[in-house]
This record gives sequence, structure tokens and C-alpha cells, in this order.
Amino acid sequence: MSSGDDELERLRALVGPSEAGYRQLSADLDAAVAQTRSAELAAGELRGRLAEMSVQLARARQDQDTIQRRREMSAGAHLADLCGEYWREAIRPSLARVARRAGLRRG
Amino acid sequence: MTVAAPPRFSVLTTVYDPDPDHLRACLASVDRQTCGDWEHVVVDDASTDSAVGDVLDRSGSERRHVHRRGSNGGIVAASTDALAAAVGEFVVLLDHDDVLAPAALERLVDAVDGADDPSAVDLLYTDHDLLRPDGRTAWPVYKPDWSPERLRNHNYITHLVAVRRSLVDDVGGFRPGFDGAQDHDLLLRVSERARTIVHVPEVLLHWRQSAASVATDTGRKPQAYEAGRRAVADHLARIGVDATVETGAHDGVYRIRRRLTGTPTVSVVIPTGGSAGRVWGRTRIFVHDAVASLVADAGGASRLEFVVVLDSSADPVVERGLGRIAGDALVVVPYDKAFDFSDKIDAGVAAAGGDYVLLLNDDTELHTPGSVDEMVGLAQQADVGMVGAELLFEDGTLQHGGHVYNGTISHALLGWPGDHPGPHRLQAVERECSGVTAAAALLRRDVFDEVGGMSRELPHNYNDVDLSLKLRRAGYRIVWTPHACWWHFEGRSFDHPIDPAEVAVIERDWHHEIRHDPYYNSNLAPGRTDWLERPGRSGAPPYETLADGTVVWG
Repeated sequence: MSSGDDELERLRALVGPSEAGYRQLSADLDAAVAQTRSAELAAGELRGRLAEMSVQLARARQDQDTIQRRREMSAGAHLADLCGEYWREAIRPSLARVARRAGLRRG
Repeated sequence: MTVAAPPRFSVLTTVYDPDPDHLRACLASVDRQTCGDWEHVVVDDASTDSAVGDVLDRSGSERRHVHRRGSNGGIVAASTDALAAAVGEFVVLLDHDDVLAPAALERLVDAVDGADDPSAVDLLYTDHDLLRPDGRTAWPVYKPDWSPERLRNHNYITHLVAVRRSLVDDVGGFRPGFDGAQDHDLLLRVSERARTIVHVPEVLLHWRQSAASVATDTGRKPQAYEAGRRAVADHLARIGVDATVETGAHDGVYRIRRRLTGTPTVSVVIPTGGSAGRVWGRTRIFVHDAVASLVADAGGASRLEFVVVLDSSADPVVERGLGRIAGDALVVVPYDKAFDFSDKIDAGVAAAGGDYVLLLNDDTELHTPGSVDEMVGLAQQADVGMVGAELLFEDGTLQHGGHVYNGTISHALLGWPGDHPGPHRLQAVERECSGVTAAAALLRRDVFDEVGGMSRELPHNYNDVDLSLKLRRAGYRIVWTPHACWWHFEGRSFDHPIDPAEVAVIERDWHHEIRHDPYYNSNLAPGRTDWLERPGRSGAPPYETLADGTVVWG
């Protein structure tokens, strides 16, 4: 028995810590990995929210710019802007529709 | 004697005790239409508020026909009465407190007449926004073009909808028992037979936020979502998809669980050099964990085969480890050429024995058990060409939520929280995409072969974009699902150099497609993939006229 213990001690010395020490180290490693993962995910949650908020910020900035630009317009520029919008949104599509219908009739 | 031609549109509105001012606004918005080819059929479902009756009494006109029910029968009964009285070519559904944009019907006419075959247009829908209690519009909903998988998962269309009258009759009109989800049910049934479905990418309806409206108070409408769940289940049964349907984690979203046909064999094709790296603080050989995570998820209906295309230069420990992890399910394809992702995938698929191939990067780990079966369930629909999965970075943020081709080629909502439902819940639902990443994509083997596999002109980049677009050109749908999910330990940085020759190939072959994504929207800012609107289209308040006549913006 004694010679067996001696051999075990000799082998332990060769391979490093005891079984108990190995189990402890292994548990420590698992805990460290879990903590790393948890920290990584917590950082990711913040990163994700930042990514989402940066879109909201971009939206708010371009809205602000649009509103400010409109408010700073002279009456003439404002009128021109409204006319341009009316042209784009109403007149041009109507003309296109008339042209298309005329084309259909010819066809 | 001449008989007047029936109008193009019959606008149907059922009324039950709305705020009289809201009803007035609704009726006025129909009167203000720039297109005159309409009739308005209004059915009062026995409103108890006399003020509502007064509004309706004063609203009659040559074009508006008001009918009154003797007793309250619910929205389906009232809608059925409205439909019976309508004579137009298309029926347009308008809630009693919503407001049409002045050009709404004119735009619908444009869309029908502008179609290749106007007589085949059976269903049209438009974008909409919300009408706030203060009268301002906000939160526009810019929708994708026709997206059937998404419609099964939630009613992304809602308003404004126009349906060819004859088709509504063919499918049996509004179904009793689906009150609250009657529009979703009708859309599903109509879509099964519609020849052409047109999306008009313009806000043409303002959906009023009011206390009783689903628009704001979804929690008060559980019966509507239960009716919607039954509508989706019935639809799936009609189109031959064997599935159960549950109400999902988000209001109005349905979770479809498909039963697989047969015992599918899936060949998981993994190209790898056997590289190692640190994940969550621990070093791993990537391909070992990619395979092990799938082996551990052994309870599914699919049988897995692992086809690992392994560089001949890899450390022998890689193959030995794979043998221990996958056993008889492992097929190793030695690869001794310079790195070429496309060639490696093709080599792997050539050696695959499965009916399905799951293209999988080695730097992945299964996140959600059952993911492979989820993807197979979608791929068993004959018209689905490829199925993509949700991929998460190591920190849980979104790496892949489907591709977006919007003047740039990138991933939807890159870097957003992995569990975020996304704008208009698009990350919480199965939906069509223009493309998906080959880092985790499942195809039927015959479909992969049909389109010729991967492009040899694209050894490093964009090969999945090319594959996706080839599949769509062949008439297949590509579906992305949030119910299949992997970790993907790819670097967060996307500034790696891209070979200009590969950019040139994509530009040569897909110039139009990478700039016009049907599942995005032309009202959204170009070059972005996060659903940010173009300037001026984000729901910022419209022009206002002050008491002194001054017009201000916002």
C-alpha cells in the first residue's frame, strides 16, 4: 500500500496538481468561461441598444434638419418647394397616367 | 336608356359607435378623393350613439349609400352586408375612424393600369401610418412587396387593401367566426388564388390610434389574435402545410410549427481549415464545436450527415476529433487547393448523400435546439429555394437577419440586440428575403444542383448573394426564420478587403437586383439596412396651418 501511495505521489509530481486540485482548477475554468460569456452578452446587450439607438438618432437628426430647413425657407422658396412636391406627387403621375392610357388606346 | 358603368372601387366601411368626429373625418377623406371612380358603401351596425346616426344622416350622397342593420351583428356580419351592396370592380376596406390620403384611390388606379396585365391584378395593398390622437400622423409602416411567409406569421399588410370583387366572392367573402381578424383571414384566402398582387409603396391610409383600436391597444384584442391564429391554421391546411399554429411571443405574431414529411436526411456541409480560436475565453477548434453542438441536438426528426471539406494541411487532430464527435455520420472530403469557399462548398455537396444540404461555416455553434428541423420544414414547400437562419455574434447581437440589397449588400439590422423584434416585428417572423448568408443556409439538394451550385467566379465574397439571386431568378422564394439560430464567431468588423474582381462580377450579373430589394421599400434610405426612412418620410409632422394662416412644418 505504501509503495502504491509513493508511486501515486511520484506520478502527481510528474503531472501537476492533485485530483482535488485538478477538479478545483477545472471548476474555476468553467466559472471563468461562464463569467466571460455573461460579461460578453451584457456588453452585447449594450452594443445592440446603441446600434438601435443610433438609427433613432439618425432619424431624429434628419427630421430636425428637414423641419429646420423648412422653417428657414423664404416665402418664395417655400412656395417653390410646395410646387415641386405637388409636381412630383400629383401632376407628374397624372401626366404619366394620361400618357399611358393614350398609349393603351393606340395599342 | 343607358346604364351607368359600375364604379372601379367600392369603399366598404362598417360603423359601430365611433367618435363622431373621427367618422366625419373618415367620410370626408373619401369625399376628397382625387379619383372620382368610386362608391362608398357604409353599413351602420346598430350604433347606439345617436350622434353617429346624425353624422350618417347628413353624409348621404349620390356615391355614398348608407345601410342600417336592425341589430348589432359584429364586423363580419356588417362587412358581409356591405359587400352584398357593393357593385365596384374592386372592394376597398376602410375602418370607420381611419382616413384615406386624398390620392389613395388614384394611386390604386395607377397601380392597376400600370401592371403588365391589369386584368390579372387581384389584390393591392399600400403602406400606411398611424394617426395620433392629436391629429398628426406618425410611425409610417413601409412594407415589403408580396411576402406570403410573412403574412402567415402576422398581418403585415393590414391597411390599405383593395381586392377584386369577383375574387372576394369566389373565396366566400368574410367568414363568420373570425371577427377581429376577418381582414387577415380574407387576405390569406384571397392570396391563395390571386394572380397578381401589387404593393404600392406609398402611405395612402392613416390608421387612427384610439382607445379601442388594435393600432394602439393590442392587449384588449386577445380574441382577435385567437381568430387570427385559426385563420392561419386554416390557411396552412388549405395549402397543404401540415403544421400547428400558436399565438407568438409578440401581439399579432403567430408561431408555426411544421411537421416534417418523412425522415429527411440533411448533409451538413462544412468547409474548414481546422482553425482554432478563443470563444468566451476558451480556445476551441471551431469545427469540433460546430459539429458537436448539432450532434448534441439529436432529438429532431432529421437525420444528419456531416460532410467536412477539410484542408489537407490541417492538423491530424482535427479529423481524429471529428471522428470521435460524429462517428459514422462523418464524411471527410480532403481539400488540397488554395482556399476557395465556393469550390469547397461544391466539393462538399458533391460528396453529400442527403436530400437536403445545410451549408454551415465552421465558426458556428448551434444556439436553438431544433433549428435544422425548422429549416427543413420551410424547405419542404416546393417553391422555397433556400432557408436562412438567425446568426448571433459572440456577444448576442445580430449578425444575420437576412440580406438586404439596397444599393449596398449587407445584413438586416446588423448589430441590433439578438432578441429585438425589429421594426414592425420583422425580426420576430419568418419572412421572404432577397438573400441569406451561406454561413447557415439550407437547400434541397436538387434545387442546389438546378441552379448550378456556387459561382466559381466568386471564391471569397458574394457567392451566397449570387446563389440567392440565381434561386430567385429561377422562381424560388428565399425564407429567413428567427426560429433557427446559431452563434457565429465571426469578427464584428466587416472592413476586410474585397477583391474588386468579385465586386465586378456581382455588378455585371446583378446590377439591378442589388439596388432594388423587393423586401425593403423605396421610402427607406438607400445604402442602409436598418429600416431608417428617407429624410422627410419618417413620420415627422406634416405641414400645419396656424390660425393666422402661416404654414409651418412641424
